[in-house]
Amino acid sequence: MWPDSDQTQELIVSARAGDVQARDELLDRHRAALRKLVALRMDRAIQGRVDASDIVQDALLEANRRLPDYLQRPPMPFHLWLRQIARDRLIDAHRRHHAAGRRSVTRQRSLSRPEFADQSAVDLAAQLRDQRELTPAAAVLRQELEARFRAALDQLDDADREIVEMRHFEQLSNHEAAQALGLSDPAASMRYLRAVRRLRSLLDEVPSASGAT
Amino acid sequence: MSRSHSKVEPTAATPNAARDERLAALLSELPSGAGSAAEVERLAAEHPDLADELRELWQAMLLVDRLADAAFAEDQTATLFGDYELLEELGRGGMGVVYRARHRGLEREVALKRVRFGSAAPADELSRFRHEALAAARLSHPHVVPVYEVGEYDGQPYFTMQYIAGTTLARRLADGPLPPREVAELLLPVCEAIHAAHCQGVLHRDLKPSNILIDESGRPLVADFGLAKRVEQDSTLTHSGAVLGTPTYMAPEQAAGSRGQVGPASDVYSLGTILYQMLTGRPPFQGATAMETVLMVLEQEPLPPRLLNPHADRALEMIALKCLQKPPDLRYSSAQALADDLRAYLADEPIAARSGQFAQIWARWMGETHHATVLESWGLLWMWHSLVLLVLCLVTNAMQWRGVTSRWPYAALWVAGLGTWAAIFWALRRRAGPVTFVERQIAHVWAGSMASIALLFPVEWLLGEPVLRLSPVLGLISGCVFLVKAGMLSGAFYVQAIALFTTALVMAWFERTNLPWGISLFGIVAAASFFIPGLKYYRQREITDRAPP
Repeated sequence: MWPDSDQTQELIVSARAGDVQARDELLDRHRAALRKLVALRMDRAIQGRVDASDIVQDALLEANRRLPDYLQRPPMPFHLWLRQIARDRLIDAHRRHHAAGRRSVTRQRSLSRPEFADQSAVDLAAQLRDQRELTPAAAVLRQELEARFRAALDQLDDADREIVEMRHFEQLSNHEAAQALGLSDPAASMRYLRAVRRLRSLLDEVPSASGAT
Repeated sequence: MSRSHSKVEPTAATPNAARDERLAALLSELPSGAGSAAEVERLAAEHPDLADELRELWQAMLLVDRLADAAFAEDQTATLFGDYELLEELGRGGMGVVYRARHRGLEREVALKRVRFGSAAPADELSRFRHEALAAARLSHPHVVPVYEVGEYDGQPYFTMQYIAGTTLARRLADGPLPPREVAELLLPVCEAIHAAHCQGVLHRDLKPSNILIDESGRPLVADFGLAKRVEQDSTLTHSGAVLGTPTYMAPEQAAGSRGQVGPASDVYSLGTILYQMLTGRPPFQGATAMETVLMVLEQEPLPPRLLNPHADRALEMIALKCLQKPPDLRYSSAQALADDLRAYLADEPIAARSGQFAQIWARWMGETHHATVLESWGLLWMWHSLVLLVLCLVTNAMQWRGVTSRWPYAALWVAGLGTWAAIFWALRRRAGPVTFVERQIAHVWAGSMASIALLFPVEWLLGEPVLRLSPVLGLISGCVFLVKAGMLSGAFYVQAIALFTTALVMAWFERTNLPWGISLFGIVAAASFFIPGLKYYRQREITDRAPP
């Protein structure tokens, strides 16, 4: 998901030497990744009210402002630094729009399909795998799966969800995730293990049996 | 089912925790994303006690990956841009990236230009980009690349234009100069296209060989009205002094920043640089850095093309050099006039670039140089200076009349008096803003003149002549100073130089006939020499300051 790091490194060197084009390029080439990150992380509750591009633009402006400091003393790899800024912007946006109570909202909406109520996400995934072609039925199945997955993700606590998103959506390595979270590598890998276990058990749940509707 | 789980990070204190740590380490070894099945089986084989749970967790990871991909599939398509599919990057310029793109639905291939994130002032850049797009969209000419659509996607403005398969003039010129007739035939329609744009109130402002596309039939098309803006609009966009455009092909008034008068003549200049490169294979000015190039554009005369390419056509050379005149009014009056001259050349008729040489030389000698603007910071000071000179000379003349013959009072008055004033003058000038290089040069000429004046006293003493005997030399020294200023700042100062040289002769004649008016005469002429331009530039400054930013 993140652009090639060798090129990023070259651009950082040029930018440090005062090359304005390199600065622009450096920020510009991360735009798509940031947009994806923000789209992934943006709460559905505020999606109608806040435009992901605005948050990305804000983050890039902020990054541009702080770039001289970064270039002088880089505290972490560039893409991690940039995603940190974007995360902060995103948290601000959530705070501004009082995005509270999100879990209950998504759970109500996503687990409302009665025909799948007696099947776990893992079962549904197996069914989907069997259907090679994208039939309307498969599309519904996929939607249900996505909804379950969203819901499962929302049921994780913040720290667990964070690391799952980092490892799987942003495709950061364990080391990078540890750096971004300020943890040691083993501590980050432990957190990841815990999160995957929890996710696995949530996806194994059968909605009708768990009592959640 | 219980939803609670421990929030305490496990430690290695228990065997179970030690096992978890090993498992965690294995999971973190998997590449980001869930890795391949083979990789998992390898790890499982190495750690049989963890194999089952590893497989089970890996399944969950795989599921997460797939779902993540599926859920956000629409975000993966980075090559989609609104209704367009971006096929390849064609090039990037100062503020935009151009892609070859396909409109989904219409299945039409276009060139799509989108603005890049800019560090300087994104708001400025965005509005500049919109201006550009709208300006380009207004143009319709067979030799201008047509603009199809101006839009905004994802907060980023863009516009699409016809995709021209073919090459650019820059690529064509990479192999060296072109034959003379081909040069004229290729450039003629370009000049006409630019003229048509000027007539519609649009300047190109970024003409260069890479912006002249040549389609497969060999037809030239002007692209990228990159910095185009409406002619009649106030230059608010560039008033910050930001230098826009490629310095190599930029007119001096553009390179000089906000002060210059950028207009149709600036595009004529750029057409001249293109013509020059077509004749010689290289642009007229090319420094090692952009700054160096800017200085060359401002200060230097281009080498005659025939020095670089002995086969360069003489008539085309004159046309190019006429476009490359530093003062805009010495160039062709319009792109159409340039086109007319190229057409005359193709028809073997006499070209206009040959005529009007004398008037041009005269205008060049008497006109202001681009450095003359420094005088605006000096207007008021020069008026004060003229007063100081006048008082100094009248006092000196009065002392003469009173019969003071000792050298010291005069020397003290001129050296100390003039020296003090010079110090005050310079301090005041510095307070008004940073001192430019040209001003430093002028200050040196001035310092040289003051040293010469002060040294007249010991010279008179050594020669055994009475004090003030050499006072006519004052006129010569001051005349020299104005002659230098005439060369550097404005040809108008030749008048002052001649007046002061003449004054020196009159003073000498006065001395010969014992008329004691010499110093006063010098005082009046010198004061007038400073006061008149001082007043002119003081007023000019006021007008500049009052102009909207």
